[in-house]
Amino acid sequence: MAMIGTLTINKRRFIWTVVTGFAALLLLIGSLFFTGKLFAAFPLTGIGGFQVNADYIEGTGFELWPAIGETAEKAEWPQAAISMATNKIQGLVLSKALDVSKTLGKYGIHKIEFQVIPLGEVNGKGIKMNVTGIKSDVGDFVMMTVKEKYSKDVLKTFTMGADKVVMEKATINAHSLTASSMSIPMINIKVVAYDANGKPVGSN
Amino acid sequence: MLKGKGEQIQMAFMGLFIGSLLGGLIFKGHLGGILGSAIGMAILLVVVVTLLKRHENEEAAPRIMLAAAGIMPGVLIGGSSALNLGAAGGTFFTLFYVLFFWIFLFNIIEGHKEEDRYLAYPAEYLIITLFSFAGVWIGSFISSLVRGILPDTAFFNGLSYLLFTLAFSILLPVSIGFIFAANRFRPLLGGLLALLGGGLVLWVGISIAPMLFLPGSGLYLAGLVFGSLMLALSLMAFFTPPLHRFIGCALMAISVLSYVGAMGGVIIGGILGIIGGALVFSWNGLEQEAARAISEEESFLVDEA
Repeated sequence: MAMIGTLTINKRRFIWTVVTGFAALLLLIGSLFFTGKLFAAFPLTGIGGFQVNADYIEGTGFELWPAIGETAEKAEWPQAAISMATNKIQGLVLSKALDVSKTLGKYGIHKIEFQVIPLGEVNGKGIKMNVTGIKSDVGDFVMMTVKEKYSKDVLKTFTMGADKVVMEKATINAHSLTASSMSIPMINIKVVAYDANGKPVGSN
Repeated sequence: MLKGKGEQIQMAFMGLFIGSLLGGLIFKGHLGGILGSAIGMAILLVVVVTLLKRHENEEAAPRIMLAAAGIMPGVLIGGSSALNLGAAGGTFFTLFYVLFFWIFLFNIIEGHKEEDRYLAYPAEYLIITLFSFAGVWIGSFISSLVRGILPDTAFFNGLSYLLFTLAFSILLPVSIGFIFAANRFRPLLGGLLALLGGGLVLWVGISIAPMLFLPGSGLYLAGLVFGSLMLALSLMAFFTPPLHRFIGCALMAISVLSYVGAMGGVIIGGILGIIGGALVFSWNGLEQEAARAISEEESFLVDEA
């Protein structure tokens, strides 16, 4: 009681308000859970995807538009579709992380990351990618166009293009990657295991 | 049976906390050593306070309780690897903290209590102990954040660690009494909790802001919008106390909604927002002030009659 006096509050009103607030929160989380929309509460989890990291990406005939595509964990998820006529990639690392805590947790391994590392420059033609995230230290666009179009199909209302694009230290969260042709010199594949604290376990 | 034994109970808990942490450091995690030092320290502090309460000087017991609260931050700061001063550093900083809390901090707190700017509250010394410990941890965390800004040398690392841990381990525990005192005139406590929660929600919003580049990513705006609103409403609570019911309701509603698209500010931000909003809503400082004014007027009229 003394503490309530120190807080300068109406005790009964406070208890009712807190209970109402947390009941509303439970109702919200419950309704998201039962309607299968719980991912909305945690927007960055459960999407899946693999990482494309590169020191330098140079592409021609770049185009980007909204798309709906599948991921490892969702049948349909909003994505950005990217196409490039040709591209040149240096320092490429393709990696996919898998949560193995249920199966290998007892051996101290909670996450496994598969890394595909080409030792040299990768040249590709007719690249198509669906992505949910792009981050790069430098992004240069030559003859860039960003256009809105009137269309009843929402996926056709926006396009972005450039004759040439250069990205440095880029990280792309991709869900599909196809190419009409790709030359990859000397592929090195690594499997890295991580413990519960995200530290690598043993040697590669 | 426990009436009037508040100080002893606080000292028992403080002794268990300080003793277990010291035991953990000295006996390197050995359970028997930790238990022994925790119980030993609790008994020692309770006996000291019981004896001092019989003393004629009323200040003796609270001074010792405050001095005991300074043991942990002194040990942790002096013995930290950031300063690398070893056992000598631990001893020096423990003595510094104990004396500082015993003499200066006690005088500062008592002076402000007399001026009605600091409010004594239940379990005050236990809370000061816990917050001074938390202050070291927060100061250490912030110094690790600024490490990238300052030159990466042992001197600058040690200096930033020392400054931030000293500041937070002293100011954080003392601030509680000042907040409670100011809370009588405006819903400061609830507003501060909601401000912290809003900061966390905004932080999530800023973290995922790069995803806004992608089409169809409107949901990612949630953290920025809800976090900014929570910060604005928290500040409103400080400056417009008469609107506390509306502000409290709005804070709670937005805190609940922050769980859509912003993870409720890493979960804890939304919880702080709900509790802060409820404190703002149920704040009754204005009613208490009005009641005080009426009783003063009545007593004046009775005196006049």
